[in-house]
Amino acid sequence: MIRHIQSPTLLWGLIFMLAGALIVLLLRYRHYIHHAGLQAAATRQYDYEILRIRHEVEREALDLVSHELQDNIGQLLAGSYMQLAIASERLQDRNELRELIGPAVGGIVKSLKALGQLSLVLNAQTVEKMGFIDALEKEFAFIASVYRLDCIFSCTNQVPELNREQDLMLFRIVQEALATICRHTSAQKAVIDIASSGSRIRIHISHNGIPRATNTTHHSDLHHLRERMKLLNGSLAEQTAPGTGGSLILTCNLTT
Amino acid sequence: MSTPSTIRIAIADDHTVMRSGLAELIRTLGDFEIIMQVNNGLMLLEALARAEVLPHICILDINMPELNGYETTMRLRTAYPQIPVLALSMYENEFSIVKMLRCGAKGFLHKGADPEELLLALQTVHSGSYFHSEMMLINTIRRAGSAQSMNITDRETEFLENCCSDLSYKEIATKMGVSLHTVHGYRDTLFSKLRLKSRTALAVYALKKGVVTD
Repeated sequence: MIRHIQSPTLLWGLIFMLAGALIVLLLRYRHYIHHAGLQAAATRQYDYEILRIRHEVEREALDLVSHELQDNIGQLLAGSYMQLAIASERLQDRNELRELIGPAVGGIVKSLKALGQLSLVLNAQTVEKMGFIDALEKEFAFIASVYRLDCIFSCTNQVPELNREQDLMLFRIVQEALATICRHTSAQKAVIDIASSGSRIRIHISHNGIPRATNTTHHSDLHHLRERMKLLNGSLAEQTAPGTGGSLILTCNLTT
Repeated sequence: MSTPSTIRIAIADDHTVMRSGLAELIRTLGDFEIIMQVNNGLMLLEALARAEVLPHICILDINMPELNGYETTMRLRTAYPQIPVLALSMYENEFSIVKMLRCGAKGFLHKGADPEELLLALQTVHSGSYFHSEMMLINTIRRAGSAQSMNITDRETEFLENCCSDLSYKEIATKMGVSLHTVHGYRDTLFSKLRLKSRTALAVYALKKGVVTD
């Protein structure tokens, strides 16, 4: 077409027109990209805020439960324990009755111990004060006594310095992962290995139970875990090894 | 009926069922008399101020309204230094137990403790000594000798001192300028050397051996 245009003015006019149109298109495209980017960033920020609010609500709820376990339910149970212990003491010469009461007393003492351990790891302030690693030790003790899940812990290298919020978030994630394993895999042993590189932390939790549970609650639990990981800019992967169990790999980046 | 050898006890706990259950259980243990049962620390101090006969031991819950276990223990230590305090704890939260010990308590008792342990706790604090459920082990150590003969290093002693504060291991690590891993190392070494299993037992050991003074 350009060959048929004889007038240079007309040619330049056409070129300018095309260039103008291109510039307008580019500007519009840039505006669109910018707008879309802003929208995506806003959506991400919104999702993050929702997660944070959920985390805050959960913190309040768990603190309340911890308080109730300690101050009300536990105290009632301790009172009942005392009464049974008195009855048992008074039945010195009635072995038959003592044998009946004995397991009940033992059961209550065990429940009291488990309630104490649970109350401790549900309380956000205590977890933050202890820090991630020490809180994990307490969680393992609770899991071992209630679920009979033996947890072995190892740290490939030193875990980076975490602030109180990160301590709590990371702890809640591992706590939920372990609860998921306890609920769905019938495992007897779990190995938790933590490796870190700079601000990046990788937590590998392997177990000797059912490799991958297929029920809906398991999927829902994993979904919740993935959501939690987003708060720490992280991800969750599930690995299975038929015959030997399965594992959850939690990776997060603590810089953001 | 009280005799000269009867050990008089006061209990302060705001949980009525728990308190009366404990009083009843103590009565079944032998020569003990419960002379006061109150709801909180303030009521205990008021009852003591009015009392003609003082208790030999005060058993205090940590969390109480009006005046909690810490404050009550400190006031008791000033006003009635001859009366030992036994802290009563629902759960073994090491921070609150260690804090009670530093406030002047001579030991702590878990609310799920069995009657034999309760009896031992009462007898021990009445004799002026410290009580911890792992105290049989602590006594073995006492017979074994001093901290020096246990080969406790200076850094381990420093760690032991810090165990008697309300600092967490993480906070102790920061204070000592070492990693958490190193602090765990001091802890595990001391557990092994002293044959103890808990931080509260370490704190009782430190107080008992005079590593820290109360």
